[in-house]
Order: sequence, then structure tokens, then C-alpha cells
Amino acid sequence: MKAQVYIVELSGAWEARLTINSVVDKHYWLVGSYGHYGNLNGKLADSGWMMKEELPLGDACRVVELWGMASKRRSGNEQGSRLTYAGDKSLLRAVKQLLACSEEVRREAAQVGGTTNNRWWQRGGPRDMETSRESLLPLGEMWVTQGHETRGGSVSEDYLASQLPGEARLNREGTGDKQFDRGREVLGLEELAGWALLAADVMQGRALLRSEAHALLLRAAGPGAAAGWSGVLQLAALLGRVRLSGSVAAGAGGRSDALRRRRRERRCQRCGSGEALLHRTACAACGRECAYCTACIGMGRSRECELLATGHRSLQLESRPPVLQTSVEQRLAKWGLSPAQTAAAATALSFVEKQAPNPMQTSWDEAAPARDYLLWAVTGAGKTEMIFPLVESVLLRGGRALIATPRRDVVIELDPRIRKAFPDASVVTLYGGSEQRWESGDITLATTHQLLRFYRCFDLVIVDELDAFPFVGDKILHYAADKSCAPGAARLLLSATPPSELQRAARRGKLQHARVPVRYHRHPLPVPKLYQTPTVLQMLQQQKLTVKLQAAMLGSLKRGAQLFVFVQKIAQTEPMAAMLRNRLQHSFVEATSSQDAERTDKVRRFRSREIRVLVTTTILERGVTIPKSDVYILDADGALFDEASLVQMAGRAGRSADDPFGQVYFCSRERNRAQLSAVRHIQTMNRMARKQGFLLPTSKGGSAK
Amino acid sequence: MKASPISWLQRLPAAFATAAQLLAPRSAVCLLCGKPHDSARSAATASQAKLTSQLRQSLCGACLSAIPWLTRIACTRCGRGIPCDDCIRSPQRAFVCNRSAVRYNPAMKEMLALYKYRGNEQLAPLLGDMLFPVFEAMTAELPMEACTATKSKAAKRNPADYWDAVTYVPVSAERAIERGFNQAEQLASHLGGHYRVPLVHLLQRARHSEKQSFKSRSERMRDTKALFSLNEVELDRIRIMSSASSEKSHNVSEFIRILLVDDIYTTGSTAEACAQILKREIEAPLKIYVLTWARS
Repeated sequence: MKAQVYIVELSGAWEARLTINSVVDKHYWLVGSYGHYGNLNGKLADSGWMMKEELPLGDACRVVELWGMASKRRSGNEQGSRLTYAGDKSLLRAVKQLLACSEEVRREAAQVGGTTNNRWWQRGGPRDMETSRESLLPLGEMWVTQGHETRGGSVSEDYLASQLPGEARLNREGTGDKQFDRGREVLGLEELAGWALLAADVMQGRALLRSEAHALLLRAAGPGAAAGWSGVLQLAALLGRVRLSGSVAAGAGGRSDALRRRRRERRCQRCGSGEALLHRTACAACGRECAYCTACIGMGRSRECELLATGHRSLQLESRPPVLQTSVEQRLAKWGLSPAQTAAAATALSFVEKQAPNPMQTSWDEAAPARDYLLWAVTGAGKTEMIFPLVESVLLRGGRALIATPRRDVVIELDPRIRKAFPDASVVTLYGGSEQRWESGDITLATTHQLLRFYRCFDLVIVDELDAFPFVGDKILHYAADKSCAPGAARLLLSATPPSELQRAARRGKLQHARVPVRYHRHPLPVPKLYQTPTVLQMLQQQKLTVKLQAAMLGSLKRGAQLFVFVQKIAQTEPMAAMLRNRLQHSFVEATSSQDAERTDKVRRFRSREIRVLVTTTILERGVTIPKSDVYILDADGALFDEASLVQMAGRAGRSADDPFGQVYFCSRERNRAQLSAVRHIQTMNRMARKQGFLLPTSKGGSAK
Repeated sequence: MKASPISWLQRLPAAFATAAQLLAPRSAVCLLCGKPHDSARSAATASQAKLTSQLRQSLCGACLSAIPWLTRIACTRCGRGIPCDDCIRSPQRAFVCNRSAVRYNPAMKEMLALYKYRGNEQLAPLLGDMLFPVFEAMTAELPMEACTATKSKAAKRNPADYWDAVTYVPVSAERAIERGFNQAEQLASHLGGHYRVPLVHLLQRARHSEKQSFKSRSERMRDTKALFSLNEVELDRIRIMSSASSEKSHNVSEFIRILLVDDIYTTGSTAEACAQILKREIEAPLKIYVLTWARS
């Protein structure tokens, strides 16, 4: 889309702005009153001048930025001399500067876009800068106050009027006829101001593309506001509550004199992707070549001339209201946590409640980074229960909490548990296709992808299963998770198998952390047994299992357990299920994978014990809890099963207090490092639990053999 | 047909493009499904030899083999894979025939949606490349039905000799601003650029104001009929072409052959409307052929 740039004179100094709806700006700067909302602008402008030509949005932003840099430079050079250029001369000078800025931007754009599509700038204003007012002023529209006695300038209004182009003159005559439709106008203004204030509220902490902002307005303020979205957003921006910018733009900063030498790197302002992931095409919306981001295109197209509206979060977290006077112990007691959970939750809680090192900053660009805390809890430790006290602490202080996880099914599963734990709080659950997309609440539950749409919104961010696909190794999602934290917010990283760099940081003391080495039922984790077997391919070819494996499986069935059978390849799931059905003489064997349309249904039937043996891939390595289950990992030496995923799959066994000694088998031709380190990982956790006295006294340690 | 120096020169750009293709960076993941692709497997698929290397390199083997190519045509008029009632019922069309590259199945629907609605313009060259085989087949069909007298021995004819211009179905200005591009135009320009057929912006979609509700029925009817209009500026180029067409080697008859490109052919009403406008507004004799990416 396109935008216009203008300058306004605020008590002698000129300021450049951009607008996507110039009528709103004109009223804001020259009149400023909005019916019963009163005067929203405390600092009216004496006059203004708006460039008539519409620029691509990204360019308009850049013009304003260049203007800011130029005037900063100038005010450094000649201090206070600004005011000596009063009235007409000052206006001309400002206009000239604005035109020079836009010319500069045009040159920059032409350099980037090459010469393939230069129609846009050829059509533009004069190439050589003329200096006479007769040639400059008609390039724009002059804004002057109605009651011109308030103006301090020396230019007479009649003279200005003669300089104005036809259209602008008509406008002025129209506004001169104020008795005519004053009533309707005031009503319209009141409506606009109401919508803008509402929009500013609902936009808080969000970063939305134009179409998303439109949908949000439609939802929050109704069709009227949505139809006039540009005016509503523009007024909210004038009030300083929303920032409007191009969605792909060069980052602010960098030395201004370095611009010539090095081309500025553009980035997607939403997902942080750099030039390598941007794709430049001719754009009909802005009339020149402009870049779009290919990385986050699944969440709507972010491009140079696309509007990104970012809402400023005005509410700040109170540090210590009286409610928090109750001690940490008292607050933890009500959640009924196990000793290990309590210990970890207490340290995490003191971390969360600690004052942020830097005071909250309100500027757009600089802010204290989020403080990270790693909660390393074994599978089945009861991580969700541990985060309840933390969420409660933030809610009591009037903050917003976010629980994010890479997987959509986990979000959906978490939803009822959170609602039950916090019946009084408003909970919003976000995922692709969620109904609550445009609502805001105290607690937000979201997939990590949804975080792209937030900007410094949350005082507590909890990232669950941070080592799971697709979060791990996805730079966009990490960027989104960083961006969603309010300045100085606490961020809690939850995992049973943290990535090695986090483990290293924790060990070196660079990352604060707590380990929960024991499950909530205080029994040790089942230690996997290593069996030597042929590969799955060979087993399928020969249509038989090894004697030992078959005996173990029959034993598991006999003791009434349910069996997880993990294989490497989706293609092997069905044949393996067929063979097991045959060999085990058992008909309740099913297979599922990510490409199975009936996956949800099969998992449900597995939960309800209708299916006894489920052959699957890593898709079910986490999130599914079956009370009495044994785990068989076939081809455990395969490349797809690394230490983390072996530990996760082993974590499916023995999760309930009724059957804490589930069995885990790693079946493979060779034992490799992943298997051994997974076993070591589990044994270390068990040893640590025993040392710290978290295990039940009756247990002798190790899994039941 | 002798290989004149000029035809050699004409082949040079294509040769350079092919050479440059060898140096082009290969994307690590399939553009459609996002999975890292097995280059060994996709390169080995012999049956897809007719596809451009770009197509083979940017899609994974699974996505590539899932493309439902429309190779067997049952309805010679609209290019459908199965016999077509519409064409039997109303045989009179303003265009000669339609040919489509693929059948519009769910997979193709998704592909088009990625490109057209999600705006992933990286797919534009792929969709454009997918038109090449059908365009060549269409060109090969030409002499049989147009001028059977001319014997054509050359195994590989230059399509630029047979087509005077390629144009496309326009979108409204509002849509262009909203979407940022016109998919049909991108396809047409890709095709025209590859085969060196001039792209003309012959048509434009009349701007539809929101005041549609104030119009009477008859006014609306007239409006929908006048959905498209002729771009007068480009008309001159066609006039020049018509005078030049007589000089072209292949063409004994006095008509201009125009290819109209669109993304999808459903009932043919859009193509029909465009073709009618062209026939009515341009006095020179026209033969309009329609090439679409998908046939639903």
C-alpha cells in the first residue's frame, strides 16, 4: 500500500510524519478535538505541508527516518538557529528538506530494484531541486489552522490559498462551511476517536499485518471501524499507541554516513529473516519492485509495502502489590506438588519475581532482553503443575502470561487443564484456525508460530517442549519467542531433553536452571534394556521377530500393558502392525503416523485401551500419556532416533503411580552412542533423584528387572 | 528449413539461460511441501525429462510425480480430459480452443492457492514452466488444423513463428493492489519471455465501483458483459503486427494468432468474454487460442 508524508510545525520546530489517511492527520494537528473525548492532541501544529505524491509505505517510513536523522544532524551543527528562520522561510526550508529526503529514498530504491522497473520514479517530481516557493509548494497541500490569528507565521492565508492546488482549495472551502454539517462531523469524529482508543487497547502487544489488523478491528469494534480501518489505525498511531511501518524494512540504527558505502540490510520485521529469505518481485500495490518474506509466508504475506501495525503495551507489571505478601511456601502449598516439584518451583518462582535488572523502558527499539530460566524436568515430572504457581504470581501482579509450545495437539490438550487451574482468569488459546484468534486474555496458550503476531506482550513466557519439532532449529520461531517477551520479562524454558547448547550453558552457570530428576510419583525412571535384533527391514522380510523380542512382547501383553512400538519410517508402520498382529496372535494392533488421517481417533482408542499395540513413528514420542505401557523401540540405532528422542520415547513408560515400572527396550543391530547416552541420561537422573532423597524410600532404585 | 545465422543468434539467449541454470543455486527444500528433497531421486526420474530443470530442481520427487498432467484430451475444443457436455451444448465459441497443463485436483488447487492467495510468487516460474509442454503440444497441433497446405518437416519448430502475440486475462485494479500481482500476467510473461512471443497487455478489467447496488438490472447486465475492455494503447501494437503478419513465413492467411493465458479454465466463460471483446474491438481477423494452467 501507499502512504503520504507531511511536515508539521510544532512550536517553531518542524517534524515529519507519514500517514495512511491524511484527513485524520490534518484534523489531529490543526483542530485536535474529538467531540466528548475532548482534545486528544495537547500540542497543536501551527501549520503543515503534505506532499501530494503517494509513496510506497516502506519508502514513506524511510523518508521520515531520513528526516529525523537530518534534523538531528542539523540541530547538532547550528544550535538554536532553527528558530531564527521564522514563518515563510522556515516552511520553505522544511519543504525543501522533505523533498530532498524523498529524493534520497527514491535513489536508494532505484539502486536496490535495479533498472528493470523504474517507471515509478520517472513519473515523480522534478529531478533537479528547484528552490522557488512557486515551484515547491504546489507539490503538496498546505495545512493551516482555521482561526489563523493563532498562527505565528508571517504568510498571509490569502496568499497561501492562491498557492494551493484546486483540490485543496475545494477542501478548504468545504471546511469553511462549518455550520453546514458540523453535527455530523462531530459525531463522526467521536466515533473515530472511540474506535481508535479501542483499537489501541486491543492492539496492545500485537504485531499485525494489515489484513490481520482489519480482522481484529472487525472483531473488536464492528464493521464500521473495520471499514475505516486506515483512519482508526492512523489516529491510534498519532496518539502514540500504535506504530505503523513497512513489514519488511531495514532495521533502524547504523551510522547515517555509512549508508552510502554499504547497502542497508532489509529484514522481515515480523519474523526477523534477512535478505537471503526475501524475494523481490514487481508489486502492483506500490508500483515498484518490492521484497516479500518467504520464511513466514504461511502466516500471511509480509512485504515492503505491506502495513505492519505494532501496538504499544502501556500496562506495566507492578513489582510488589500487597497480595504478594504471602510467603512463597504458602503460595506453593495450595498446588499439591511433590517435594521435587516444590523445590524446583520455588527457585523458579523467586527468579520470576526478582526485579528485572533494568527498569522497564518505554522506547520502541531498545529494551532489556528477556531473562531465561531453564527448567529441566524428566518426562512425567509434572511440568504443567510446576508452572501454575509462576503463572499465578504474574496474574496477581496484573501481568500477562504466555504458555507456548511447538505442537498444536499439546496446546489443545493443555487448554482444559489451564482453565481448570485458573477458573477466574481469561484464557485464550491460539493455534492455526483457532476461534479465539482476536481475543486477548490474562493467560495465552499458543503454538510457537502464533508468537509472530505478538510484540513485547507478555511478562512471563513459558516455552514448553522447546526441543520439539518445529521449534528446534527454527530461527523464525526463536525470533518470535524473543519478540513476544515484554522488556525484562522472565522466560521459562521447559524440557526433559534440552538441546546440548542449553545443557552446556546451564552447566557453566550461564543459564539459571533447576532440575527435576524424578517423576511426580517419586519412582525412578525405567532404564531401557538393550536387545540385539535384526533390522526392521529384515524382520519384515522374514515375517518374524526374534524369540527374545517376541517373548518380551507377549509378556507385556500378558501383564496387561499397552505397547508402544516405534519404528523409523512411516512406510514401515503398517507392515509392522500386520506382522505383529500375526505373530502375537492379537488383533488389537494398529499403526499410525503423521500421514494417517485417523491419527487422532487411533490415539483416542489407544488411550481407551481399545488398541493394545500401537506401531508408530517419532510423531508420538511426546505428549501421549498411557497409564500402563511398555515401550519397544525398533531400529534404535537409526539416524532419526537421537538421544533426545530416545529419552522421550522411553519416557512413555511407567508414567502412572499405579504402574511405575514400565519397561523400555532398545532393539537394534548395533548399540550406538545415542542409545548409550540415552541410557546414561536416564541413569544420571535416577542417581540424582536418589541422592537428593526424592525417591520413595521403598524403592531400591533402578527399574524392576 | 535451413539454419540461418539469425536463427543461430536467436538460440543464443536460450543457450545462455541453460548455462546459467547450471550455476543457479538449488533450493534445499521442495517449494511445495517444504521437505528437504532427495536430489538423486528427483534427477533420476526419467519420465519427466521433458520438464525444465528448474521445475525438477525446485520440487521434490513426490510432489513432481503428483502433478496430474493433462496429456490425453477428450474434448478437442476445451481441452478436457473427459468428454465435455458444455462444448457439445454450445459449440460456438469466440476462441478456437483451450488447452490446459494439468487437471485441477486438490493438490493443484493447493498449489494454486499457495501462489495466488498466499502470494508465494516464487512459484510463478514453476507454474510458468508447467505451461511449456502443453504450449509446445498446442503449437504442434496448429498446422494440421490451420493451414494443412504448408508442409512442416522441421522436427522442432520455433513457436515464435506461429504466434503473433500472447496476452492474458486481466484483474481489476483493486485486486491488483490487494494481491500485488496478476497471476495470469505473470504466467503469460513467463511463457512469452521463454519462447520470444511478444506479450501485449490487450485487455483490462473495467473497474467495479461499490455502487453496483444502485444500478438497475439491465445496467448490471450490461456491466457484467462489459467486464473487460480493450487497452487502446496496446491496440496499436496489434495493428502493426497485422501489417507485419503477412510477411511472416508461415502464414498464408491473413489472420493474427493470439494466445490468451489464464490460470484456470472452469466453464470457459471468462475466456469467452475476453475473446469476444477482442474479436469485436479489433478489426483485423483474429484467431484466439486459450492456454490455461489448470482445467477443472
